[in-house]
Order: sequence, then structure tokens, then C-alpha cells
Amino acid sequence: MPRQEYNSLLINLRFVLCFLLSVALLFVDLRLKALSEVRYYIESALYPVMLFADSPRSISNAVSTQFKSRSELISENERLASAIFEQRADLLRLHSLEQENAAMRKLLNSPLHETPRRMFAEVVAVDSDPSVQRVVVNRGTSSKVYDSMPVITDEGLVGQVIEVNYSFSRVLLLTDPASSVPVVNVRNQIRALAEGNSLHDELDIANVARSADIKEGDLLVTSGLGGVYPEGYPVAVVTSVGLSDNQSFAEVKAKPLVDFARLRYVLMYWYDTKPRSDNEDVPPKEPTDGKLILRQQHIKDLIESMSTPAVSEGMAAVAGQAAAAEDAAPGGE
Amino acid sequence: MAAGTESRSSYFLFFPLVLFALIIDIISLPEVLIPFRPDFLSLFVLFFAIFDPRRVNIGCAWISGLLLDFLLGSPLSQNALCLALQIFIILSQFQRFAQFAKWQQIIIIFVVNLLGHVLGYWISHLAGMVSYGGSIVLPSLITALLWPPVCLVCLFLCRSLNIAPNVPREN
Repeated sequence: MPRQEYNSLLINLRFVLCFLLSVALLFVDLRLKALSEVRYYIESALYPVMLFADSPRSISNAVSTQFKSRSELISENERLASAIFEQRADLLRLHSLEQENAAMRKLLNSPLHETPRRMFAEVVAVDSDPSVQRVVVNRGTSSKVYDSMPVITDEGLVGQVIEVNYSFSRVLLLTDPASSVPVVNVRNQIRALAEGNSLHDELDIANVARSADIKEGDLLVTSGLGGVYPEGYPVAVVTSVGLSDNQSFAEVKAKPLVDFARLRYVLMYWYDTKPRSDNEDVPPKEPTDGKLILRQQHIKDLIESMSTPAVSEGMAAVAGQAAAAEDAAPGGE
Repeated sequence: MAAGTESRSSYFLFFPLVLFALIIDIISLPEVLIPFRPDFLSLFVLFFAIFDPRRVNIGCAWISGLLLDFLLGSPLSQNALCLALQIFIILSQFQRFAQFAKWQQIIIIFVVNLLGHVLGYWISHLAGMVSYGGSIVLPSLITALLWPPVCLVCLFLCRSLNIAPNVPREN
């Protein structure tokens, strides 16, 4: 039947067209990265859909807070008040420690750590693909969020921003297979890399030598190497160390401190990798430790001791000449 | 319109259902249910591709998949290509799909959907989004098992909204 043939030809043609278009789009998107602008606008426009998809969760949250009993609220309020009280007391100490640290750093001529700007953000969507671990938060370029910005919570590190749109951005969690965080063991400063393996409560600590001193229960914090994450934020606790003879590296697993399954609020963290040059309090790096000061003093003394007699001799010579001239002048008259 | 002036175009139902499927695809589920998320988008698109092949074709499937790509942040045209491939296989290889028994349709949808998912995984590997573990068979199985109810619901909606396919006048 010619109609049938015509139809199947049309179907084939359409599919070939779609296929070619897809390959071209994939190439342009992945290799040339040329579509980020287009993506930015379209995804920003699709943000309401995302918010709508999140509505069951936000509504159920709102309902469950509405229907809390009075006694529950009172006990929660008491608990929060006591927590705030304790934290205020800690904060007093923190301020003095911060000042002390700043003074010490000034003495060492290291750049000062400034308390960076942070911003509260809410997780509005979780990417549904089970092979990736990403969430969408409700801050974007309108709030000056930038690419590869670190994201934290009160419990520890969450991940980094990988895609920014006008009013939301995507955060790559630590547990995503594409994520790896340079960490350091608090107990003995051994450096390692924490990599995700797409399980929401496990990290692989890669390339740890079998002789390295790493134990269960060790706390891993960010080392600040790599320049993406700020230094010293807690990441994970080592849960198991497997040593087997046929492997060249120890097989170390860690549990992230943040519970990614119930992540709701995060803090966006403005991390300035370059020390600020306009800071007048801290002079640029200039070697001034004790030995150098002594050496400079020594050199200065040496110069002085060498130059002083010469100067006095010179002065004496000048004075002598002047005296001679004075003597000669009356003699000449 | 061959079917009379009162009947509506199937776009009238197609676009709301696609939007619904997109929202189902990105809605946040409990951690336990995430590996079992059914692929409603391909079911809806497949239904309309069979119900009204002159309006909803591979191009529509491709565009719906592209919208999903934007929402998921996956490499552009990953889901679009998968969806277009699924519709293409069913339209070109099973031309009497609508006359098949329901269990035969379920088997075909299972295999084709699995093929689409495999293609999707392949593309995300090309893009460098490595993923290990996780079953890709289960979502396809659930999607295929959901075909009869989805089909029934769509048919019911089409009847009640007086939606008729675009039938060629001369035949």
C-alpha cells in the first residue's frame, strides 16, 4: 500500500531528524558548552514547575507544623531557648578567640581569616535520577550565587554549586560520584580525597596508603586545598578501614556528617580564595620572623659601625679645611 | 476536522498530561521509593502517538523529552533522544500495536523502555556522570505494568472531554 509506505517513510525521516538534532545538541552542550546561556533562561523560566513539584512536601511540612500540639511547642521552645543560651555563652568565647587568632596571625604575618558572608537557602527540589546526587536550592544569580560556591549546613559540608540560574541553583552533593573533596584527618593531618559513590550515606576515601594511620571514628575536615572549599569544615567520620593484602591501597569508608536524605535548609558560603589586597591592617608577605629581624639589625649595626668613623673623619677633614681656610684668610689679608 | 465540529483536538489533553508527567518525574519522593519511579512521560506520549498519530508524533515526543532534560539538568537531549527512540521503535516495528493483547503490549513496553533507559545511561556515561549500581530494570517493569491503567484513564478522559483523533478525510 503506498499510503503505508509513505507513513513509515515519514516516521523514519522524523526519527532520523530527531536523532541528528539530538547528536548535534549533545555535542554543542557537552563539548562546546555553548548552550549555557540558553539553558539559563529556559531553566529559569521552568522554575515555577519545580516549585509546584515541591509543593506536596512543603504543604505537608506546613500542615505538620500547624498541627503540633501546645505541649510539643512549649517543650520545643524550651529546648531551643536553652540551646541558644548555651551557644551565646560559646559565642562570647569565640569572639575573644577570634581576636586572639587575628592578633596571632598578624604576628605571623599570615592573612587574616575573615568571617565570610553566608546566606540561608532552602532545598526546593531533589534531582530524581537515582544515579546522581544533586539538589536544587532557591537562590540564584539574583542573590549573587556563583558557580562552584561551597554550600554548608550547621552539621558540616554539603557540596558545591554546579549550575546557577536566575532564581535557583543546582548543588552537587558530596555523595555524587562526580564529587571529590580534599580532606584532612583532624587527628594527624593526613591528607586524603573523599569521593562520592551515589549512596546517600557513604563516602569513599580514595588512595589512602595501607601504612597510613587512619582509624575508625577519625573526623575528616576540608583541607582547603583545591581552592573550592574553605578550610576546616567537618565532612565525614571514618566508619570502616579495610586492609587486604591483594590491594595496594586501604579501602576506607566514611559517613558524611550531613544527613542528605532529609536535607532541607543549607547555607551558601561566599568563599574568597584570593586574600584581599586592599586590607591595610595586614602588610603584604614580608619575612619578619625573629632570626631575620636579628640579621637585619646586625646588618644595620654593621653598616653603622663601618660608616660612623668615615663620617666623623670626613667631618673632621671638612672642619680642618674650613679651619685652614679661616687661618689662611686672615693670613692673606 | 473529520470527526465533526464538536470534538476537540487531542492537544487539549496532551499538553496538560505531559505537564503532569513532568511534575511526577521531578516530584520529591521518599528515599525508599526513588529507585521505583515510573516513567509516566513515555506512557502518555506513547498513548497519544497511538491514539492520534497525525498530531502527536516523534517530534512531540522529542520536545517533551527536551523539557524533561531542562528540568532535570541532564545533558541536553538525553531524555529527548530516549523518548523519541522508544516511540520510533513502537511506531515502526509494531504497527498494529493497538490491536495487540494487553499482556503483549506490556512486554513490548517493558523491553522498549528498558532499551531507552540503557541509551540514557550510555549518554550520561559519555557526559562523564558516572553511576554504579542501581537497577534500571525495576523502573521499566513498573512503567510497563502501569500501561493498562494509564491507557484506561487516558481513554476515559478522551471520551469525557470529547477528544477525537485527526483522521484523514479520504481513505
